[in-house]
Amino acid sequence: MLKMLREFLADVGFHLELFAQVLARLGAVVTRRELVLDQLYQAGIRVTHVVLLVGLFIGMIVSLQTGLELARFGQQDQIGTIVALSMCREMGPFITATIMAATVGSAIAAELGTMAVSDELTALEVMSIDRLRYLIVPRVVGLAVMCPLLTVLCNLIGVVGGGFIAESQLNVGLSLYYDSAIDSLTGTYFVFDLPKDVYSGLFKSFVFGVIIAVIACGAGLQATSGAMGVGSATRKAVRDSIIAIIIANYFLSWIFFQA
Amino acid sequence: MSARGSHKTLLQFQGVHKAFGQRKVLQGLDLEVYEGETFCIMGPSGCGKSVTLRHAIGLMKPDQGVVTVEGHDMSSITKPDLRKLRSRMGYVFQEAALLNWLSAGDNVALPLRETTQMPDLEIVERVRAKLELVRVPDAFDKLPSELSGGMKKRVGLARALITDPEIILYDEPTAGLDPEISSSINHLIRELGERLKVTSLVVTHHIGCIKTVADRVGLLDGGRLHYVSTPTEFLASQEPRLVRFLGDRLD
Ligand SMILES: Nc1ncnc2c1ncn2[C@@H]1O[C@H](COP(=O)(O)OP(=O)(O)O)[C@@H](O)[C@H]1O
Ligand SMILES: [Mg+2]
Repeated sequence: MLKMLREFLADVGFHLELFAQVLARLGAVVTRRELVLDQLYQAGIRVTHVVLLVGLFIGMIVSLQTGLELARFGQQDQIGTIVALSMCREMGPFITATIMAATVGSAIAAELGTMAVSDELTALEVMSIDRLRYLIVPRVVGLAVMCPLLTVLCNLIGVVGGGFIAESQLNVGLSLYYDSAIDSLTGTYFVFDLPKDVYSGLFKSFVFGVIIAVIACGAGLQATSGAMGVGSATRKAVRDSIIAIIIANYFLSWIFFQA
Repeated sequence: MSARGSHKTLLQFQGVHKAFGQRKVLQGLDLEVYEGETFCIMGPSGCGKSVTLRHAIGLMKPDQGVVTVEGHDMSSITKPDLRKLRSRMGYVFQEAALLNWLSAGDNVALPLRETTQMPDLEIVERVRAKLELVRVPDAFDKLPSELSGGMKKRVGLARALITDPEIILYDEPTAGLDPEISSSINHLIRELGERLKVTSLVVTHHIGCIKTVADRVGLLDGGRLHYVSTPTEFLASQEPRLVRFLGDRLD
């Protein structure tokens, strides 16, 4: 038990240190533009269709489940509000981050893990190439930028999916649905003209992106020789980042809506 | 053969110990490599050959003892000095260790692109020259996954040579290659030693390799180097341990 705790703390320490090293080298974003662009592409374009598909169905599920309940009280007109708020505050950021952890995060861990066990990281060191600037910073920036962008897409398509169900299953007209969805997002708290429900969600997904990248990179760098090493690094990356996302999600929600 | 080597020591291990947990790998290793010579270390799998090379380029530090390269103590060398020193050393990895998303040409160009201000046109020219030198001129645009094992080794060698190093470390340059390709790689190493006047430290468990490339050779066993001599003497030796080791190889 004590040993597990110590290992856990050492692991957290390792990832925090990695994160600090990335922050110290953020200048590499400018000097290594092409690497960053490539990672934006890797982190974004490859998973966009997954986010769209899943987001659509999540919106449909939220609409159907809550809509049927609301209908029992004759409140189905509120469905636009419910779908928009739950997509923007929770579903969009969380679902997008989960998809990113399972696809981009696992790919990063596998890729860096393979490099670790096949001496490629050692080769970089021998050639005096900073692997943080060359490999890690671009990946962290790629996920930190793409996660919020894809969350926007997820939110939008989720609201569209919800509207589809509202009209076909709940007999709520589309214009009423979209009006209530948009109304609900026009609150009194504005940052850059964005309602709090939206920007809090986007900020969360930015943090999730950083978490996924740092955990995945850390797992990959720590992989040890043998194919098992890469496999377990990949599993660890996905498992740990999903746990970390959920815990961070709670605290971020608390800060935004409770504190 | 030894006429090629002067007697200035470039690379030296003095009483080097290295253990991983309970596993004692190096136990008082002494080694001297002279300027211009090709020194081979033979030894069975797992005896610490790669660990020795990693010490020679500062990837590992000895638990005890001293590793010196061109007069620098590798345990206390400063980062800028280590950088400078490493740019004058080449390391040929056992599995080539090419970055798999870069073409062979880009892999070879990497050290120049990342650590120098050289214009790209000049870099490409140099890369082509090195690929020519290691006889894989057509590999330039190919990805590592499209290359055979022997070709990967050659590209890895070209990458190690791109900064014109004075010291080259080879980790089992012929392991896993068929005899014909092994022999051509061995001749290439020999030729590089003669033409470029580099100092080489080669670890191998192939007799063919030491016959072709070595000026001197020693057996790494029990964490120390034994029977350091010329390849002819080494192979003719009647030392029981050596006979047993070499007997295994000849079969
Ligand atoms: N980084 C490391 N951590 C733990 N043990 C290691 C490490 N590197 C090598 N070893 C151990 O040291 C021994 C010698 O390894 P190595 O030098 O790779 O052998 P070889 O002579 O085949 O190249 C092996 O038992 C290996 O398990
Ligand atoms: Mg080895």
